[in-house]
Amino acid sequence: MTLQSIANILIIVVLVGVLGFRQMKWRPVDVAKMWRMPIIMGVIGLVTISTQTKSSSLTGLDLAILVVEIVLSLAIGSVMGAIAHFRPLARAADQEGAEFESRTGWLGMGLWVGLIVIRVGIDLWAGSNGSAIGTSTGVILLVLAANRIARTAVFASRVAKLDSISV
Amino acid sequence: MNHVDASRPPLTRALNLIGAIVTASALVARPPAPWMIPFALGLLAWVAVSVLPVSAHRLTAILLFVLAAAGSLSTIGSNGIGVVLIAVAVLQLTGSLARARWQGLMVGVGSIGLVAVSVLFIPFPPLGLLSIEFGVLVAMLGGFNRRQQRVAEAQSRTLLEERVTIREEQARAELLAARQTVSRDIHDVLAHSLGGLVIQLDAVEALLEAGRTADVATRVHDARQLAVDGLNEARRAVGALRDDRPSASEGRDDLAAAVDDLVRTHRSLGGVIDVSESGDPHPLGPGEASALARVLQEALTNARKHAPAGEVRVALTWRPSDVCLEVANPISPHRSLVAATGGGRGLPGMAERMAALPNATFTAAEHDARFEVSATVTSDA
Repeated sequence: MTLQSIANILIIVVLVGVLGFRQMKWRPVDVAKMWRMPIIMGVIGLVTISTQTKSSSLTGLDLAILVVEIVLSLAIGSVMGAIAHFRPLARAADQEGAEFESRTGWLGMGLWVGLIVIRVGIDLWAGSNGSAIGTSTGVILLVLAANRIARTAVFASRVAKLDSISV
Repeated sequence: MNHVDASRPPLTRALNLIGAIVTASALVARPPAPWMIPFALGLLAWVAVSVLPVSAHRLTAILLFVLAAAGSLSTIGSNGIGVVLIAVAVLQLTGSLARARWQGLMVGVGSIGLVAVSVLFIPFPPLGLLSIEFGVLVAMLGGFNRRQQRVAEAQSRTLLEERVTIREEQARAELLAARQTVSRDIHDVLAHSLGGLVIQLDAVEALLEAGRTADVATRVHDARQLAVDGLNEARRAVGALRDDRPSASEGRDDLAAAVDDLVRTHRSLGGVIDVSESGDPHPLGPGEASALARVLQEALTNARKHAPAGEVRVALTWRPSDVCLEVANPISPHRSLVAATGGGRGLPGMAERMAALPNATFTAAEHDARFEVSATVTSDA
C-alpha cells in the first residue's frame, strides 16, 4: 500500500463521514454558500489532475472513465437534491440568509454509499484494464465536486420555486 | 403543460427530414457492423419526430429520448457521425419551452455518459472522445440559448399586451374625466339659468296677480334673455369638451366680461351686489379665467338660493403673483323657493374645478353669519 493510496483512503473516509453526517441533520439552505465548497473542490481536483497526469499518457479509456464517473456523480447528486426534505426556517423577516433548511435522510445516505461503491468498483475494473486515472486524488475531488454541484443546482431551482410560491 | 411554441412550421419538418436522409447516407457502402442497429433505430425515431403532430407531446419526448440513446450508442462505432442524432435530440428537448429544463439537461448529460461508457469497451483516441463530448455540450448550450430567446420573445409579447391594456385604461380614464367636467359645467349653467328663470317667473306671477301687465313684458323679456344666455353657456360647455385645446383668447378680458355678465344677471334678478376690483390685471393661464368665472357663477346662484335679499360682496384682487376672487353673502334664516332645488353639487363642483388647476386654492366657509367663498389662482412666473 503506497502513501498515495493511504492518503486517498483517508480523504474518502473523512469526506464520506463529514458529508454523510451533515446530510442526516437539518441544515440551513443557503444556495450562495453551497456553491463555494464544490467549486473549490473542483478547481483543486482539476489542478491536481493537470499537474500529476501527463496529457500524452492519457488514453481514451482514462478519459471515458473520468467522464462516466462524473456523469454518474452528477446523476446521484441531482437525485439527492430532488429527494431532500425542505422546511421553512424560523427567523425574523428582515434577517439575511437562508429561508429554508433541508435534510436528505437515510435514502440520501444510501445514495452516498452507493456512489462510493460504484466508484470503487469502476476503479477496480479500470485498474484491471490498465487505467490508473481513477485512483488519483484529483479525480476523487472532481467526482465529489460534481455530486455537490448537481445537488446544489437542484436545490437552487427548488428554492426558487418555493420562493415564487411563498411570495 | 403549457404549449408555448405550439406550432412547428412545415419548413422545420422538411429540414429535419432532409437531415435524416443526409445522415442516413453514412450507412451506404459500409460493411455491416453492430453500431448500425442503434443508428438505424435513431434515424427512424428522427423521421417519426419530424412527421408527428405537435399534440403528440409525450410520444415525441419518448422518441427524442430514444434518438439520443441510439445516437450515444452508435457514435463511437460510426466514428463520430452518431453525435448528429444526439445533437438533434438535445437541441429539440432543451430549446422547447413546452418541456421542463431538466429533460434536456438529463438527456444531454446522459448522452455524454453513454458515449463514454461505449469507449470503456471499444478503444478510441482521447482527442476524438473529447471532441464528441464537446459536440454534445455545444448542442446543449445551443438549445438553452434558443430557449432563452424564446423566453425573451414571450416576455416582450406579454409586455406589449400589458402596454396596450394600460393605454386603453388611460383613454377610458380620460373619457370619464372629460364627462365629469362637462356634467359639472352643465350643472352650473342649468342651476344658474333655471334658478334665475324660477325667480323671474315668480315675479311674473306676482305682477299678473297685481294686474301690472305692463311690467310683465319686461320680466318676460328678461326671462327670455336669461334662457338664451343659459342655452349659449350650455353649448359652450359642450363645445369645450369637443375642442379641448385651451383657447388663445382666454384671459383677463374673458374674466372681466364673464364677471360683468354675471353681475348684470344677478341685478336683473333683483339681487343686490357690490363689486370691487383692485390691482393690475395680468394674463391668466388656460382654463383659469373660466374656472374663476364658474366659481363666481355658482356662488351667485347659491346666494340667490339661500339669501335672496342679502347684499353679495364680490372682490377681485389682482396681485403680481396671483389673482383672488372672494364672494361673501349673508346667511338668511328665510330660505327661498329655489333653495330646495339644488342637488348639493355646487360647492364640491367648485372645489373640483379649482383642484383641477395646478396652482389654485379654494375655500368655502361660514364666517360671522356670512358665507364666504374664496378662490386664488397663483401664476407660474
